[in-house]
Amino acid sequence: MLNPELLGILGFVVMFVLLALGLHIGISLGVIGFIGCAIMLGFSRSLSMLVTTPYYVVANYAFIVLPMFIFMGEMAFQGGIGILLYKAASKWLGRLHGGLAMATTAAAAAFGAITGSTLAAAATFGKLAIPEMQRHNYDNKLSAGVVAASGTLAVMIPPSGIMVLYSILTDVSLGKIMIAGIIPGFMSAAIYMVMIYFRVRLNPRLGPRSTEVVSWKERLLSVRWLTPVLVVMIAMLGGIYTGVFTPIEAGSVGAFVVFVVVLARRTVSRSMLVTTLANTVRATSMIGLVIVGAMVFGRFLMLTNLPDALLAFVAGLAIPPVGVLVVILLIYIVLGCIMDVPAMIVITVPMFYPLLHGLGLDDIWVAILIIKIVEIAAITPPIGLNVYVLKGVVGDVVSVGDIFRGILPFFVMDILTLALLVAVPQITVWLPSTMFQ
Amino acid sequence: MAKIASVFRAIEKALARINLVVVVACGIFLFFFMFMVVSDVTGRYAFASPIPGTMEIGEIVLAFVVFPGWAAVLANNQHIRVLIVVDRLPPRWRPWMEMLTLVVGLAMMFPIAWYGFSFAMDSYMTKEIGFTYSIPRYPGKVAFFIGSTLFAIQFLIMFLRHLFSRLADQIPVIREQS
Repeated sequence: MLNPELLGILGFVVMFVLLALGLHIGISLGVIGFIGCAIMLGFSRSLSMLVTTPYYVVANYAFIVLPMFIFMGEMAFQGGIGILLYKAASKWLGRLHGGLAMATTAAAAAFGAITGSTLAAAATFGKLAIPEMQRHNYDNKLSAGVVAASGTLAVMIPPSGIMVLYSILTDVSLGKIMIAGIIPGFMSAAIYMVMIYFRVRLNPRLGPRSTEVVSWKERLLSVRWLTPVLVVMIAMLGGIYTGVFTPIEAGSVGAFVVFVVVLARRTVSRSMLVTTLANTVRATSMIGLVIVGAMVFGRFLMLTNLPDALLAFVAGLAIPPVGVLVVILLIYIVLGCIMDVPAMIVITVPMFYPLLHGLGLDDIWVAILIIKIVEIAAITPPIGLNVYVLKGVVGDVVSVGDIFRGILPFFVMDILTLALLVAVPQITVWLPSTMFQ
Repeated sequence: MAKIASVFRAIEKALARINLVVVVACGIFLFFFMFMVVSDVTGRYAFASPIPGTMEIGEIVLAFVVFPGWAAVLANNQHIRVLIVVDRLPPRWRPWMEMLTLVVGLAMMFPIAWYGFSFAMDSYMTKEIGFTYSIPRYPGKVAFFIGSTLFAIQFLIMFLRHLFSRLADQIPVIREQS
C-alpha cells in the first residue's frame, strides 16, 4: 500500500484536478475523502462513514448559528436597512473630499455588523451609492472600487458566515473569533476612509465635494437610522461579550432583533419573508454541502497523518513560526485569484490550521489573519465575486476592468492592514482576552 | 432524442416546484425555531426556566434546513465550483464537463441516499432519542434521507437531460457524415 503521507498528497493533487474540471467543491472533497478512506480503512467502513458523517456534521447544535446569521443578513438586505445606513453616513460625510465614497465605506461597515454577506453589501451599495456618486461626478473607478472593496468588510466585522465556517472546521471558539474581528474590521474601514480622503485631497476630480447643504438638525435626526445596527450590535455582540448567551444563541437573538426592527419599519410582507426564508435555506444548504465534503476529506487527511508530517517538516526548517505564517498568507493571496472565499477556507484550513496551531501561534490571531486574507480574495481578479455581483447590479455603467482598477488602491490598503495585524497581534487578541470566560 | 430531452426538462420543472415547496417549508421551521431559542434564552435569564429540548429540536431543524435544500441549490446551479478552467475550454467541451460533474455527483449521492433510508429506518425502529431529553431523532434522519434522495434524483434528471440534449444535437452531424 502507498505511504499514507504520499496518499494524502495524491489526494490533494486529485482534488485540484477535480476542482479544475468544474466539479462541485463539496462533492469533490467528499469523493476524494471517501476513496482515500476506502483505501486506508476498507470499502464498507468508508461507505458507512460517507453515510453517517454528513448527518452528524450537520445535526450539531453549534451549526444553527450559520442559518441564523444568514437569515439575519437576508432580512437586513431585503428590509432595506442598508439604505438607511447609507443615507445617515452621507448626511455626515457627504460634504468632505470624497465624502460619498467614505459614506459608502462607513455604511458598508455598519451593514457588515448586521449581515455577514459581502455579496449582499456589494449589491445593496452598488444599487444605491454608485448612482449617487455618479450624480456628483465621482470618478467611475473610485465609485466602483469603493463599493466592491467595502462590501468585503462584512467578512471581518461580526457576524460573519466565514467566521462560523472557520470555527466549525477548527473548533476554535466562535465567540472569541467574532469579538476579535471587531477592531480589525472597523480598522480596515477607517483605513479605507483615510486613503479615500487623501487621494481625493490630492486629486479633487476623483470625488468633488458636494454642494448640497445639510443642516445639523438633519444630521442629528439621521442618527436614528443607525438604531437597527446599534440595537443588533449591543444585543448580539454585547450578549456574547458579557456571557449572557452563547455565540450559538446569539445567532438566533440577532436574527430575532433584525426581524423585529424590520417589522417595526413595516417593510415585512409575506412575499419578502418567503424570499428571505428560501434564500436562507438555499445559502445554508450550499455551505452545508461544502462543510460536509470538507469533513469527509478532513477524516481522510487525519488518517494519512499529512498535517502532522507537514508540521514535522516545517518545524525542522530554520524558519520562525511567523515566517511560516507569512508564507501561508502569501499562498492565500495566490489562491484568492482562482478560488472564492468558502472554497479557500474549506480546502486549506484543515491543512494549515493544525500546522499553525502546532507551531504555537495564537489560534484567534491566526483565525483573524486568515479571515482577513480570504476577505481580500473576494476582490482579486479574475475570480473576485464581489466585482461580478457589482457589475451585475450596475450594468454597463462601469466595466469589469474599471472595477478591478478601482479596487487596486483598496487592495494595497488591505495588504497594509494585514501587515499591521501581523506585526501587532495585540490589535486582534486584546478584545477577546477581556471577554467573560 | 430531442423529445426525450424535453420530457426531462418537464420533469426538472416539476422537481423545481417540489424543491421550492420543500425549501420554503424548511425555512418556516427555522423561522419558528428562532422564536424558540429567544424564548429559551429569555426563560433561562428571566424566569430560570429554559425550554427543555431546544438543543435536540435545533439539531432536527438543522437537518431540515441543510439537506432538503441541496437539490434546489443544484437546480439553480448555485453549488460552489471553480470554473476558471472550464470557462476557458472550447464551448463544445463544456456540456461534457457538465455531464462529468453530474455523474460524479450522482455516484456520490446515490449510495448516501440508498443507505440513508436504512439509517433513518433504524433510528425510527429503535426509537432513538436525544441525549438529554426524550425527543425522537428520526425526523432529522428522515430529512437527511429525503434531502439526499432529492439531490440524487436532481443529479440523475439533469444528467439525462444533458445527455439526450447532446445526443439530439449530434444526430444531424452523424447523418451528414454518413
